[in-house]
Parts: sequence; structure tokens; C-alpha cells
Amino acid sequence: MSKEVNNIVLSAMSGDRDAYGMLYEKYALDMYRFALGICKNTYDAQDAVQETAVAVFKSMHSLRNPDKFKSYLFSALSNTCKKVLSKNNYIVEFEDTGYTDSEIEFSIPVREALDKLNDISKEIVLLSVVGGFKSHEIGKIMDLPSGTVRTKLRRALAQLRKELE
Amino acid sequence: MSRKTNDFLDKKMQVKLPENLSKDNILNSIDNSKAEVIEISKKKNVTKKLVPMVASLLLVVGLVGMYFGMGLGDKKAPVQNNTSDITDVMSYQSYDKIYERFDKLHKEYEKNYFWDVFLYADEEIMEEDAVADDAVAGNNAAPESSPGNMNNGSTITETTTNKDFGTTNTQEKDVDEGDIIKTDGNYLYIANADNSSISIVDVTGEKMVEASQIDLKDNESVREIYINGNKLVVVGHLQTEHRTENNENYKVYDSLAYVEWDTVVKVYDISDRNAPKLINEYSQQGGYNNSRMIGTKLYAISIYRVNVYNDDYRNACIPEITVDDGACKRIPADCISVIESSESTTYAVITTLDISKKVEPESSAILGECGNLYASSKGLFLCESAQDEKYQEITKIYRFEYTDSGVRHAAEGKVNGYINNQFSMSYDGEYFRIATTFNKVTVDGDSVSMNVEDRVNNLYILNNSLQIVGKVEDMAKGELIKSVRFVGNMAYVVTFRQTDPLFVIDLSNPEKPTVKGELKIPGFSEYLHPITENLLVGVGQDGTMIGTNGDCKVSLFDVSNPYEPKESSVLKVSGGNAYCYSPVANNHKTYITLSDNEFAVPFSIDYYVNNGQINPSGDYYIRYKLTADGLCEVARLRVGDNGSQIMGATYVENTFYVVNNCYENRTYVKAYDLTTNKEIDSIQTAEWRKG
Repeated sequence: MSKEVNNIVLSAMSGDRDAYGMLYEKYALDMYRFALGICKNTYDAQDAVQETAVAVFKSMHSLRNPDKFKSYLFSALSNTCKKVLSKNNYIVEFEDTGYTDSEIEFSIPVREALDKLNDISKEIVLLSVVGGFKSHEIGKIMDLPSGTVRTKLRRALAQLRKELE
Repeated sequence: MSRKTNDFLDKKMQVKLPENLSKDNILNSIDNSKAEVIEISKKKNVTKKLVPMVASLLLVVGLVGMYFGMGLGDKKAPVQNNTSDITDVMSYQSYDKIYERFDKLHKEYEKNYFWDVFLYADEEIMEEDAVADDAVAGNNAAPESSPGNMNNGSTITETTTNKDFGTTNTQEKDVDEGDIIKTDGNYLYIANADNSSISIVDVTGEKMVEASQIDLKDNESVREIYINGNKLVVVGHLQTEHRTENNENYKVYDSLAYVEWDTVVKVYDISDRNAPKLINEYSQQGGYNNSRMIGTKLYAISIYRVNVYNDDYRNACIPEITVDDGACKRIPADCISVIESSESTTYAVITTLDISKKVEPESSAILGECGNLYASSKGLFLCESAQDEKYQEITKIYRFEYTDSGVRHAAEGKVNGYINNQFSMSYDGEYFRIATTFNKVTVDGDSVSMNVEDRVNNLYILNNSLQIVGKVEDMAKGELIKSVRFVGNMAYVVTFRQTDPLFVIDLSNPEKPTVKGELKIPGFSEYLHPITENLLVGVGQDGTMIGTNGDCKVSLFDVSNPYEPKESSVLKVSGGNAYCYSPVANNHKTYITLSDNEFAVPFSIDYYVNNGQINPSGDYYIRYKLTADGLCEVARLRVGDNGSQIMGATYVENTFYVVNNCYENRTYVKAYDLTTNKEIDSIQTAEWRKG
């Protein structure tokens, strides 16, 4: 994380709403993409992002190391997504939200390829591709040994590549 | 391959952010969610220092670095490690080799600007220092086991008391560990939740009275404290804030600071408990990682990451110690061990301070990733997980010897697998024992795969050159080590997948450690505590397959017959009606030994349905007693509700003291009568104070 971001995290940690806004803006799209990948529909994904964004702001003061902000954010998001998923344990297809599919959805082949992965591999891929995390960070977020993450990631990416090429 | 695939997928996953997730909408929901007002932290006072942005942190370090050379020449000859086959660790007479390494890295990074590689490479080490703020006290009640008067002969004046009181539950009897609560029988010493003050509480009277409070400077925070006779040692963080200007990206925030975290050690003379006097202090670069105290010597470890991006990296690449009078000293070249095979830009900085004297600390450092500390009175070990050239998980181990002044690197080695925590290691002066979980990886051309079924657990015995002399491999296939305890010549290892096998391993022949017995029971223990020679207490999760969603249990293991270990008692905490968790799993210092046959364990209990239980949800200390019939529960002390967190506990005579951190960083100390198990007193030692 660059120093500038670090500064802003520190401000947000002390309750600066605007600073948090800037942070949110920086990560919002990646959060949404991640949530879309995990949740099965746009409503849930949006819910998860919103809930996470609010909850993380409220708990910012408990963040110890500003460097960790992004990991913190995505662990929270990952948990929220799972909560949302278990709450709405029925399948809702992408409903009309006033946007066309192409605006809100990943390209269909990617979506299908992703859905072929198991939940753990899918989350690892999303954290890596969308979140930009390194395998040991993913390990921390998902409570897996980093070696396992690397292995699963490698496999999953190979599989996705095969599907998509 | 993955980078390319990543980019490819990234492109395919582009979406637009829906309007309801726009920044303004989110901020509105934050405003509407009636978030509790989070007040501006005391620590946020921005230092009025104007440093141009380019310079920011590293220039300051650089300027300070002009003290280059100070402190050189008074050190012993470099230690070349030639005890091991792989001579990977070297130290040199000058900094040239270190410069060379950073020159190379700086160039590479300039070429290949993946900022995250630099930033996150060492995060796992940094994780360690975030853990250190959980802490606590109380164990091994016998005063003769108090670490204050062991070792080295250089004891300092003890305030004599015949009282029975708690000492910190340490891994090794003669090696003290820092905690947030300590006692000497007359006073409690508490690191407050606001992180910026230490309270000294007089417990000699009927009511607790705060005798004095040490307020740290605005940029300092406490992580752990030590009490040694009339000395109070505070180990914590020092924030140095560097303001930046001309910050183009975030103009609004250009007055904000970039913060550097260093480690600070402060020694107070507390002969007069009402007026503690600061008598010595120093800081070392890098975030606080861990510390130990042996006799009067404090060993403090920090993890210092060098920013190789900065053009001024040459000044920043040697860690520095700042002493009392403000002088900065670079760690002498011959005291820096360089792990040759590593490209890490991270140092573990180890300082040694004799707190009985007004002296400057001795310092040494190792360049390479190693952040897990184990220390016995015979040696200090740092280790780190890594991958070998065949992608197998290994743990690299670095042994340090205690010298008259500080520590020096003595040997290195490696074993397969990764460790669980500090209890996975043990050293008796001759042999180093380590228990690991090893995920075997299969490499087939370009693909690397791992099968959980191939996961095994190993125990290795290494000699002083850190060469493996004996081992037990392939224990408990497919399972994970959950806890380990070395007691004398025995090792007790708990692994888990569906059931909890407790392995009893005889180490008396170091070349041939043998598994004597194995016990399979549901659940698993996350902490093992030897209570008598043949009895172990295990605290952990009760047996379900849904991981942490279950109950907690406290077991008594009878290992008098190592061939046939028995779970002679098992006490469940909620009977399956609640989600339970014990802080002991992550912080062994919260386990309190009350007497030879009594102890207390903290639990957080959250009942699924609150249908009028006698004990509602909340935080408890549960007292257990060892009787002829086994283990029995004595009482449940309800020490907090859902809004608080148990930080630590101890006891003096018949009173049990619990430190709770509540909302907004208030710290409460509650006193319980151990006869009636009722709360008899409570004081608040720290309150959130506005900066």
C-alpha cells in the first residue's frame, strides 16, 4: 500500500468519514466484483458490499496496522458474502435492476467457468484476481496455509484457462 | 503463467459499480446507521514536523544514518557459522555486502515496479506483532519459580513478601514473558487498554487503590510489561510521524502523516510505587514482535522492513537503535547476520538490555525473514516458514547463543513442515525439538498439487548445529497439529481432523524418539498444560465436525502409563447449548494456576437460546480443581458481558483479579473473593481520553 493510502487509512481509523469515503471509492469496484463472484445475484452482492462498507467503518478503530486495511476489508466482505449466502439459501437469478446484464455481470463464460470451481477455489481466485492479494495474504484471510493457497490457485487458474481458451 | 491468467481474467470480469454503491450512498448509509461516534484517537496528534514528501520517512532515517560508524569497533569478531552443512548465514566486518544486496534489490524493483511485492512480502511476520497485545498473567504460584531471581546471578533487590500470588503462565519456568498484568503480591501492574498508560494498583488494603499511573508520550504505546523487583519494564511501539507535502493524489490530506512503527523499551524505577521514575529507555527500528526476560536481561525483537524503493535506501538499509540521549546508532556490521539465500528486505532486530544497570542495549540483527520466537534459558531461536526449491513447506530455524552482552547467531537448520506456535519448540541446551505439520506437495511438470490426505505431522530432534539427529515422521495422516507441549523428556502432541489423537512421544533417546501411546477422543485441545508429572490439562474444542461452532471442553489426560494415555476427566463448558471460545487458545497467559491443584480458564460463552440460564451469555473465568476423583468445576466467575474482553488475570492470596477491556478502551479491574466467588471490588484504571 502506498504511503498516501496509508495516511488515509490512518485518518479513517480515527473516524474521518471523508477519508473513509476515499478508501471506499478506491476499493468499491473490486469489492463489488468479488461479491458478484461469490454471491449468486446482484442484489446479494450489493447488500454484501454495503453491509461490509458500513461495518468496516464502524470497526476501523480496532484495525491495528494500517497496512492491513485491504486484507481487513476483504476478510470482512468474504464473511459477509457467506452470511448473505446462507441467509438467502435459494437461488435468485439476476433480476432486473435497471441495468443491462453486460453492465453488471461478468462475461457469461467467466461466470460459468467460475461456477465450476469449488467454493474455496473460487474465493481464492477472486481474492487473487479481483482483490490482487498474494497467496500468503489470501491464506491469512481464509485461514489456510499459504502453500495450500498457491496450489489451489495454480490449479484453479489452469482450469479456468482451459475453460476459457 | 498465473500473472497472465490473472490479467486475462481481470479483463473478463470488468463491471460497473451500481449507483447504490456509490461513495455518497455508502457514506449516507454510514451516517444513517447510527454508528457510534468513534472519537479521534489520542495517538493521532500529528507531529508538527514538516518534511518534504520525497524525504518523508526515509530521509529522516537517512539523516540520522549519518551517525554511521558510531558504535563500531567495540564488538567481538564476526561469527561465521560453519557448524552446519549449508553455510547460509554470514556476517561481515563492513556494510558493503549488505549495500550490495540492497543495490541489487533496488535496481530490480525499479525495473519491475510491483509495489505489493515489497509491501506484502513480510506481512506474515508483521502478523506476529499484531498478536502481541493479547496477554495475561498468573501461574506457577510457587514464588521460587518467579523468574526474577533465576540465572545470571545479577539479581536485583526483591521486595520480599510471603504472600501467595500469581505469576505469568510462561512456556519455560525460568524465562519470563511480557503480559498486560503483573503482580508482586502488593500491587497490580496493568497495561491499560488505551495503550498509553500503565496503572499501578495497590491491593494491600480492603479496596483497590490506584497508587500511580505512568502516562506514556503521545507517540508511544504499551504492548507488554515486565516486573522485576523494583523495576517496571514497558515494551511497546513508538510512532514516528512524518508529514508529507505536495501530495498530489490526495490534496485534502496532505497534512497527514506517514507513520513509522518502531519498538520502544522503557525501564522505570518503582521503589516508590507512588512515583515511578523513568531511568532508562531506548528504541529500535521495526515493529514490536516479541520479547522475553531472563534474569535481569530483556531480549526484545522487532521486525524492520527496509523500503528499497526509496532512493535513499542505502541509509535505511541498516537498522538503528536510538538510546536515551537521542543518539542513533547503526547496528555494527559484524553483529548483522545475513541469510545469503534469502532476498528478503526484512530484518529481525534483537536487542539485549540488562535492566539492573544504566547501560545501553546491545543489539544484533538477522537479515532474512524470521519472526517466530522461542527462548529457553539456554538459547534463543527464531524461525520462519519457507518453501524449498521443490516447493515443499519447510521451517528454517536460526539459533542464537547468549553472550555476556547480548546474543549472537550460532547455527541454522531446517525441517519439513510448519509450526503451530511457540509451544511447538523446546530446547534443553543440547537438543532442540520441534513438532511440525507438513503438507506434502506433489510436483508434476508445471502443476503443483497437494492432497490433504498426504498431510502428516513430524517431530524432529536437532543438535546444537541444528542438524537433525532423530525424528518421528508421518504421524496422524491427514490431520493438523493443534497443540504441543514438551515436558522433560516427553512430548505431547495433539492433532485434529475429526477426533483428537494425543500422541505421547518419548524423547529420552534423542536419536530415536518413539511414539509410546496414542489416544483418540472427540474434539481437540488447543492448549496443553502439565499440572502434575503425569497429568496434563487440555483446553479446547469439544468434538464436532463443524469446527469452531461447538462447545469447549477441559480435559484431564493421565499419561502415567505413556503406552496408554487416558482422558480421565472431561468437563464440557456449555453442554452444547452455546457457542464457546477460550482466549487460552491464542493466549496461553490467560490460563491461571491458582495452586497445585487448582486453576482457572477463561471462556466466552454465547448461548444459542437465552432461556433463563442461571449463567447468561458473557465472559467467564471457570475455576477447576483436581481431586482424587478427577477434575471438577468449582465455580464460574462471570467477569464480563458481551461488550467486554478478558485481557488477563492474576491473583493475590484469596482474591482473583481480572482485567477487562470494555467499549471505548476503558479498562476495568474486577476483584473476586475466591472463597465466595463473588465480585467484591472493581475499579476503572483507564478511560478513553480525548487527545
